[in-house]
Amino acid sequence: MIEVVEAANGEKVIRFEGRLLASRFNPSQEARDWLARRPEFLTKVRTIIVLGMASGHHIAELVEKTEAKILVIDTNEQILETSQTIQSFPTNRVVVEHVRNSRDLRSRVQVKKAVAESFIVLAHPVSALLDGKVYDECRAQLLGRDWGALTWQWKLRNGPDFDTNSRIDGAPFNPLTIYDLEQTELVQNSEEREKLLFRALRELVK
Amino acid sequence: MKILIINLLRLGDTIMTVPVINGLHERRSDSQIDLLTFKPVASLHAMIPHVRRWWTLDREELQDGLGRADMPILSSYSVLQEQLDVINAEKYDLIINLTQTKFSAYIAGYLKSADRLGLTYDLKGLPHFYSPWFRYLDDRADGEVDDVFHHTDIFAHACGLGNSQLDWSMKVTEKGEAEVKSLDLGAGEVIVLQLFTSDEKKNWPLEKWIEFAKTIRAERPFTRIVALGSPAERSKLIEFVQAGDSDVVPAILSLEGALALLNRAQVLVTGDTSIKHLANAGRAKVIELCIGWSDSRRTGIYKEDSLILQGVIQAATVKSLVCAILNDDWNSIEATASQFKADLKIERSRELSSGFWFAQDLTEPNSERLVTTLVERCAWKITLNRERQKKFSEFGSEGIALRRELRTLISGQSEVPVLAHLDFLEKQEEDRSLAVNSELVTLRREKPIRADLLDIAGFRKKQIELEFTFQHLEHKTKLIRTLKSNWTENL
Repeated sequence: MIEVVEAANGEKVIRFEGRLLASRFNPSQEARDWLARRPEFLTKVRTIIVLGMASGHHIAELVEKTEAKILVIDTNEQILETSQTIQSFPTNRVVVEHVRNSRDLRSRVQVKKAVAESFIVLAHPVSALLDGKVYDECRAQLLGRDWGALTWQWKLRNGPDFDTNSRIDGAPFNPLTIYDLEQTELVQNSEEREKLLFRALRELVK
Repeated sequence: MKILIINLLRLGDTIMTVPVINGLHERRSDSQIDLLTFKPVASLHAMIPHVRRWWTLDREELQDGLGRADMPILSSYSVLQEQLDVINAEKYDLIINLTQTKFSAYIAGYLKSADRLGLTYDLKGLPHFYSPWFRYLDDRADGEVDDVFHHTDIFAHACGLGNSQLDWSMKVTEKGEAEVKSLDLGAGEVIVLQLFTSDEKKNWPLEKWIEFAKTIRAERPFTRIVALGSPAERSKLIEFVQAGDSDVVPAILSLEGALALLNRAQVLVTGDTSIKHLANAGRAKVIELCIGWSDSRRTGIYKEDSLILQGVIQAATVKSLVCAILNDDWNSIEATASQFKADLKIERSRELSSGFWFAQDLTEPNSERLVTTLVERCAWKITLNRERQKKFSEFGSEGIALRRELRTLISGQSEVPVLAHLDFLEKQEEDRSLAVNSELVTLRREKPIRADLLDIAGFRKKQIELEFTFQHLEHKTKLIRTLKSNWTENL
């Protein structure tokens, strides 16, 4: 069951299957605090991908604080529809995609467009509680810290093909790092100018 | 002409490039100079004139993107690439990299330009310097060398500005002046203390600062003593003021405020800080306390007639030197240097007309060491400026300038040992030339076969090094002979 209720400060909040999707006291303040914890690249990337629409206060905050395009991914159509009755976002800034799983995510034009350029991923914590497994898969796909996801992202950037490699240090289940990128076939086969950037970045974490 | 200057280090390093920016502007008034630095350095923007556009990279953010598993693996890469592509769209005619780090060299390599200066990695990852001055800087990157040019001199010479007076001027802003005005310092004498450096090991102990402030207060009761600090140093600065002399004025200022204060004050006493370099653009005289791993030979206070102190630094000594420098009493400074020579080295910074900075040892003046150092530097200058193709007369003018310089620096001491030492140096360099030449002949005889590419590369590198050393020794010998002849004529 989905309904819209009023928080203590008068703002509207969605309640889905008995769970409030934002603060019952001050949803906008909660959104500000959430954003303040993740300031990296907010003003640098072309797209901010947000996992979870919920009541949309955090999206409103992003619209106000950044100039990036905001791509909202949600697994629940009901929540997406209801949120649009309580929030109004500029259509040139905010795009919404309903996905069922990570494969669905990979097929979406807007997602592919975003991943081909600079982007970051922000997860809305309450949304993650509603459909944890799918959100985790989508997040992993977007973070690109395994060879499958990285290959997908690299091809979207028109990067050259490369053979899937296990980690150099022999720990295949750890997330990939800049060291893997700098040493793999991916980079060795790619254009030399890309290689210069990977080498530059590696210097920053030495 | 569109010029991009890259300086991807810290605040002080960027301030050290001000003479290059001013010099390029002066020489090419139609040029458009842009700067690429790390983000915190952009706080200098209002104070560095002639910079049209200031690009910044956020080092910490890029590191976060790389180090955190909750960030997309390509986030730092994408952001950096997009930023650099925007810079590339400016189509620079000349890129000058004034940073000797691998990071900056890769960035310089990625950026496109018709002409270049400074360390740059090419698409194969090989280094290029585009000026022997930058190669010299790279060869002497470690601390083990006997003598080395100041970094500012290297930058200036590499950019073709070494033979003109360096212009350190920076803009004192209204904001900075307002900050100083709010300190209500009156019209009298002001001494500024910069207590904290970026590294605890380079700090003079707090109790010494407290003692120094008390002794200076006792000697000059009407002097205002200002303890300068950045907003990040506020609590430590207040602690200092509370622990010591309550008449000390704590000044938490922005960089713009700091420059305005250095323009108002008579003396700055500081450790190895960016404030020290900022003082080059202000009126205050400078006493640098060189502690820990600070390397004053490369990055010491450049300003003429500043003092650099190294060793066991006592509060009473600094007090004496401050009073003497305020009175422009160099006899007293030399007497202090002689008195404490067992524990303390005191150097006086000089801007020589030969086109470089020099720290003159006041503690143990030694004309032979002086001759050795200045001949070596002038010879390097000739070699690095590739003056070998010019006429022999170039050595003549260099010799005359050097003779004048030496006469000033050794005034009061006997000149006779100088000639004997020049004889010794000439013989020494002739012997070294012979040895290097012999090594070159042997190397050429043992040239590896073409098939062994690794050996060929190593062979070429060694051959270039030896040829360069040989040229330098030849220049040095010629310079010594010219100087000897000049010296004899004028005895």
